[in-house]
Amino acid sequence: MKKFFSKYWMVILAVFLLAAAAVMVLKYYKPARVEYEMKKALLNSQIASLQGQIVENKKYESVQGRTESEQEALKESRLDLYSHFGGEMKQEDQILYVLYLEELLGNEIYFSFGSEVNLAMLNDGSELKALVITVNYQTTYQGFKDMIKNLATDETYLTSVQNCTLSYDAESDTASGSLTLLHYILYYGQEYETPDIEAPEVGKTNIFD
Amino acid sequence: MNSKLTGKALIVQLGSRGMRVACMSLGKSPKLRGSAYVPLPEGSVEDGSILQPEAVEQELKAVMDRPEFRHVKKVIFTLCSTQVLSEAVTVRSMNGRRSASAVDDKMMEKTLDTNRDVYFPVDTRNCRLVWTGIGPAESEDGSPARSVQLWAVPNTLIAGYYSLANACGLTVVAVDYCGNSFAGAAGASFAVPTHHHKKKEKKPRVRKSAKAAGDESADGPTAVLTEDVDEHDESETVLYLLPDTDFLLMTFVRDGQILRQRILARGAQSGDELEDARMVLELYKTERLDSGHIRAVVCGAGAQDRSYIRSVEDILYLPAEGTDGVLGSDFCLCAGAAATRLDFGGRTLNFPGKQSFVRQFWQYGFIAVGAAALVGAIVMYYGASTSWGFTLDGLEDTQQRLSLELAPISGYAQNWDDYEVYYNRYASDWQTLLGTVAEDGTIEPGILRTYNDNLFLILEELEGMLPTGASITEIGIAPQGVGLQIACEDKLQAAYLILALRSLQYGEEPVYISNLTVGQGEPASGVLSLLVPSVAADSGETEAPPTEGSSQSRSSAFAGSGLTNAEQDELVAIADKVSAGKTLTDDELNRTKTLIRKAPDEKRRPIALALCDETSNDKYSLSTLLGSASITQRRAAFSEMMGNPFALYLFAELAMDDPDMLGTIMGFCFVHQDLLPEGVTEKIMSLMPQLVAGNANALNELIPEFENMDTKDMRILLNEFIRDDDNLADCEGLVSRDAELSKVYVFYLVSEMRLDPNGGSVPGASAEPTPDPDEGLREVPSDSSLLYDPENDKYVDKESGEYVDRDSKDLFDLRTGLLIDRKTKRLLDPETKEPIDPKNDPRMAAYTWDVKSYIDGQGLNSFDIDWDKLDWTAINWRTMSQEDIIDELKRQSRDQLWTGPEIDPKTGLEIDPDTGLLHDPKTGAYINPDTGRMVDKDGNPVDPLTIPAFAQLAPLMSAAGVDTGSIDWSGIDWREMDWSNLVSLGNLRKIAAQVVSQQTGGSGGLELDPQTGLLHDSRTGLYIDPDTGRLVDRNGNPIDPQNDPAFSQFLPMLEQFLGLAGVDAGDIDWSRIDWRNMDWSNPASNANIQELLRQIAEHSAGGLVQSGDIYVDRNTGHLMDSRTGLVVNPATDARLSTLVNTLGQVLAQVGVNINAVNWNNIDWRGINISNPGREDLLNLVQQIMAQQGMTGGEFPGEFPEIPEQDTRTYFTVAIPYKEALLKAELERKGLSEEDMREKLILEGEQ
Repeated sequence: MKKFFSKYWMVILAVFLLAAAAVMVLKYYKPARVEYEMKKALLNSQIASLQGQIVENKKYESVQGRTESEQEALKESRLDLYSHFGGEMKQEDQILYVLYLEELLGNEIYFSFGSEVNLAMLNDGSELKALVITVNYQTTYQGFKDMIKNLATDETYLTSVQNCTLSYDAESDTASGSLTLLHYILYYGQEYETPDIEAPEVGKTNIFD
Repeated sequence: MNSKLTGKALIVQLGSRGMRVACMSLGKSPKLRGSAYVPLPEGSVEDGSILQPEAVEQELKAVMDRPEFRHVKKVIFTLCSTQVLSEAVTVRSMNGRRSASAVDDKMMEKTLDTNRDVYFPVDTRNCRLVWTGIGPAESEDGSPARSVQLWAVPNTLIAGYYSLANACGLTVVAVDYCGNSFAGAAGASFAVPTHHHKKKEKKPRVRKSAKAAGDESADGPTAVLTEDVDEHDESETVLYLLPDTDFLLMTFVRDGQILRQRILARGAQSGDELEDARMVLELYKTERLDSGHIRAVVCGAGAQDRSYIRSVEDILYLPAEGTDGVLGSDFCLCAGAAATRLDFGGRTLNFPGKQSFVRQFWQYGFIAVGAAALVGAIVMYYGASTSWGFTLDGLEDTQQRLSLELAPISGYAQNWDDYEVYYNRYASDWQTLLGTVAEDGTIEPGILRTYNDNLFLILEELEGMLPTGASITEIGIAPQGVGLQIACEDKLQAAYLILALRSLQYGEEPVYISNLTVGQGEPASGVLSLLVPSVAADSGETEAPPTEGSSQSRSSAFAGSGLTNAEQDELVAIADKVSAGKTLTDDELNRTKTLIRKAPDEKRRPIALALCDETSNDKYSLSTLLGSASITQRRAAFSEMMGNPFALYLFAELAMDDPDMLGTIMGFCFVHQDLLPEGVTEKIMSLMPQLVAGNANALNELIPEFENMDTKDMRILLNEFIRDDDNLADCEGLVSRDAELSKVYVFYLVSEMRLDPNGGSVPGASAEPTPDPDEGLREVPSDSSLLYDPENDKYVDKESGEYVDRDSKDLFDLRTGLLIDRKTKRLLDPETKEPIDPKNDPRMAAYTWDVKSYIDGQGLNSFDIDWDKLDWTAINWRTMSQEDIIDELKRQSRDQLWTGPEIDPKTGLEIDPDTGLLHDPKTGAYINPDTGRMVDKDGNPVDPLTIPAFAQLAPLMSAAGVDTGSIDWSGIDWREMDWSNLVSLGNLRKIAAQVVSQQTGGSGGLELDPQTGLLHDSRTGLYIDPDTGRLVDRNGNPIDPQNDPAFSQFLPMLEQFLGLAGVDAGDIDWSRIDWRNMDWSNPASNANIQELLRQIAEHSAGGLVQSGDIYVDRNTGHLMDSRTGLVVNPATDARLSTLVNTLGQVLAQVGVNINAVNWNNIDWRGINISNPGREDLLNLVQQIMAQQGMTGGEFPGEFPEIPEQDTRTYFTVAIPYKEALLKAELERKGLSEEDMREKLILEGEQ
């Protein structure tokens, strides 16, 4: 070993120097460089972000002070739109609605209670539904046409004829069939309003009488 | 001659037995610093020649490593060899000069070199000449001359010494001859003593030496300084004898001058050389005529050897004595060489420091590099750190400055974002409800749809255009339009009306117009579904429905879907991704389903279809493609289609509506429960008995579970499902019943079969795209070995007929579009020529899928296949079919993986090498190959139900209606089972067939009863008419199999299996079945089931009627359903309701309740069932009256009037509304898009 060191001391010294240089680079320089690059990248990204934010915020300087009032106006507009829709329709409401239709259509209507179907969920959580009511009718052809026209022009309720069957007896000029009506309902948090029904005379001593 | 020698040097003397090395300081008074004698291997040195340089080098290096010799880099060799020739020569002056000095050194060298042949009797051309002056002389003619001592040294001899020195890193400062070395040690000289010159003439003491002969590179004359010798008696001659191991050096010295010197080789016998020495002595005496006193002095190693001295005295007859001091030393020659002024060597051979220098330079360079690197690293680190610090400080300052600048305005963007989000939601909701009108006038309808206006206006419009003889007989109303059934007086009137309907003011052009019929039209409500995908968006135009793939089609589909624009865009983006062939993420798959299901029921299918528009193809017929595609292509195409979430949705909807398909999938799921969510598995298990019994309600209960499955899970399930060929065929059958989904499947098949998407011929399954030299191929001018195939735009090797790459000539596969390297046998990408990863490359999917499946099915792991090791050149792409290629890959893959025992080719089971039994490693079962019975590994019979994998068969068989208690499981032949899926439906059928066989016993065919002439089955006791094949009693009378006790034992099993095939056994007219070709060893066998189905299908074909119609069997007079081939029951079939109602009215008049009619006995031949007239009804009434036992069957009284037949021409149309009207109606109700508030506008946007 002694002979080896004696013979190759210069090589050993050179290797030592190179190793020291490598240690310097790997242990000190490179980590420091990585840390520097990271810090630099972080700062640059923060600066870029800040610059972007400044530019972005300045872009909206002109509308500051108007956005809040405008949001209120949108809210009112939305409620104004919603006001055209009816709310929940319990069985008693449906009876009243059918009575309204009878008056509107000029015919007696036979029906069964309808059920609600989901149509859409709006972005503010309001739910658009439809009450599907099937009514049976018997009228003349003109009466049928009037029914459709009245549904189209009625400004109280928003109702669409979803399906219809019609059979016509030419001899008696009778059009009979069924209408499947889609009555649009919107739930937007409004309170249910109990229908105002005129009370008949009440009070009996024998309920079977 | 050497210049003045200084410093320390090694003096080396080589002998045949050893080497003397002395370290001496050079100069006027050389001093011995150290000495060593090293034995040398025998034969390494002979007579001064180095024969084994490595051995000598090794020994010399060993000496040099000793402390006293270390760091000495110079060497002087003293050459001891008889090969060195020595002669005293007199050279005459050639230019007539009178003085001796006139013979100058230059002239001397020339003369010596020219006359070397004269001086030496041997060839000395390869010798180096060295001389030293003796003194002036006279030639024979009295002219002045010079005497010199001349040596000839062989070049080869000294070259070895230089090589040795070079190898040891030493510089040869001189090579001395031992004679000269001795002269130096003895203080003698070859020159005439000085006082002799003074006596004769005054001559300078210093003379020039000669340049070495043949040494042209010698850098100048060498000089010899002759030293004054010690004072001697001028009359006495001293003979110095230096005995060494190899030689004896004799030197005659008188008066300090060496008169003669001879070197004698020493013989084996000590003293032999003294005999030669005596002869030399005698010769000396004779030549010199010198009678003076001569004494002998023994030097060197012999100086202390008294016996040798006595030998000298005895043999030479001279007084002899030993000496001491330097001459008495073993190293006397080394001491003499240290003072030599002559160099017998050649400097051109001296490369002492070359290796050393090179080595050292390299080492110094290395150190320099290392040092530079270290310094550089340090400088770089500290320099960079400083620089970085400055940079970071600057950046931090900038950051802080910008932060301060941002602080007062930081909320502006957020406020705007909040507002924008709020506004977008507001606008989106508004548009969701009311729709939008684009700049080009295109209407995107919202959810709110009140078509009352449209309906009213269209009715009024119809009133104005209907001919007086025509009438609307039926109206169907849907949200998007109306369906009208119209009755016209004749065809011309119908044509007029159709023309008028094409230009309605309040409706679009009809999307559907039925065929004309007489008396009855297509229901108006039945055409309403056609309105959905074709609602036109433009109110003013009457163009054809949107083309596939157009955004218009999609927008129409989305109309009224309730999906926001963002959601619609999301779906379109997913559809685009699918059509681009990209893989969807799990989230995208599930999101697709969520969004589709968000739409109303009636909109889901249109949306899914519209989003499949880019993945549809109507250029080919699905049936044509299915007839040509291989099973692998079909499976791959179907699997790809299931990757399209829209197609998957459509298929799932179809499957949920098809009880047969749903039942089959349920059965599959029962076996592969791991593919299902836990809840579904449990539900299937609980409902299994009902499912097997064909209970439709049970299926309906499961549908929601499947609908709620993740799209990804559903896809996995279906992919596994279609791995079975039959299942795949079932799925394809289902798809083929849906025209739109068929187009989607066609798209994927076309892609998989690599057909032209724009249409073209469909090659047959065996018609691979192989080149035909006689048709269509063209010569390639630049390469005569190739042909060009214009159809495929590829090149064909003329000789082999293979498709090849034009440049590399590698094999080219048309099916995958890949190259095969002939050398490495690997698959290459045709563009990059780089190897691909066959296992994961999508182009290989058609092959890898099957191979992986097969390998995994064998209980091995396909992941272990090293696809790069597969020999792709073993596949003949030109001649092998797709299946052959897959088989070859399977074989190679299996060979690569399989290290187990031999496989039975029939069953696919392992053959136990010890017992020869068949063995299934998955279940652990052993099968006797001869009997097919289950045995243990020693061959002893075992009960199969004791093996866990087989135990699950019992409940399944029980669920299928088989009395498992009566099954002899140990008697089952298991050889024909499908071992890849033990509980498959096929296996259950095979087991059931064997069970029936067990229960009926025996085997064999029908026997001909000689007494009755009927065919007879002795096991069941049944008789068959040999002519008709029908079941009869012993007398040949037909029997009703359903009521026959012998036959009824098979009936439940047959009904069960027919039910699985989608046939209700209750509808079968068993009496019409031909039983002759049945397998009577097992009436409920699979083959029999197939035969039954075949006969049912055959009966249904008829050849005369359309599928779905009712026709009259000409042989039996029964009413038959052409679709099912079954007898129709008029009392319950809606298609006969009109006839039955009319008949009922007539029968009521004769007191017969139509419900009491036995329709099986009615002969319908000759009766017009589609439009029965009076005679037809009378015929039926008479048959029924006869059936009821009424006398004569005559109609009592007058036959009632038959209602007049309607002969008007009917057709049905579907007319979509115009959307523009919708807007007006909503506005009238106070709902208008115009009321929506405008969004704030930014300055930059103004």
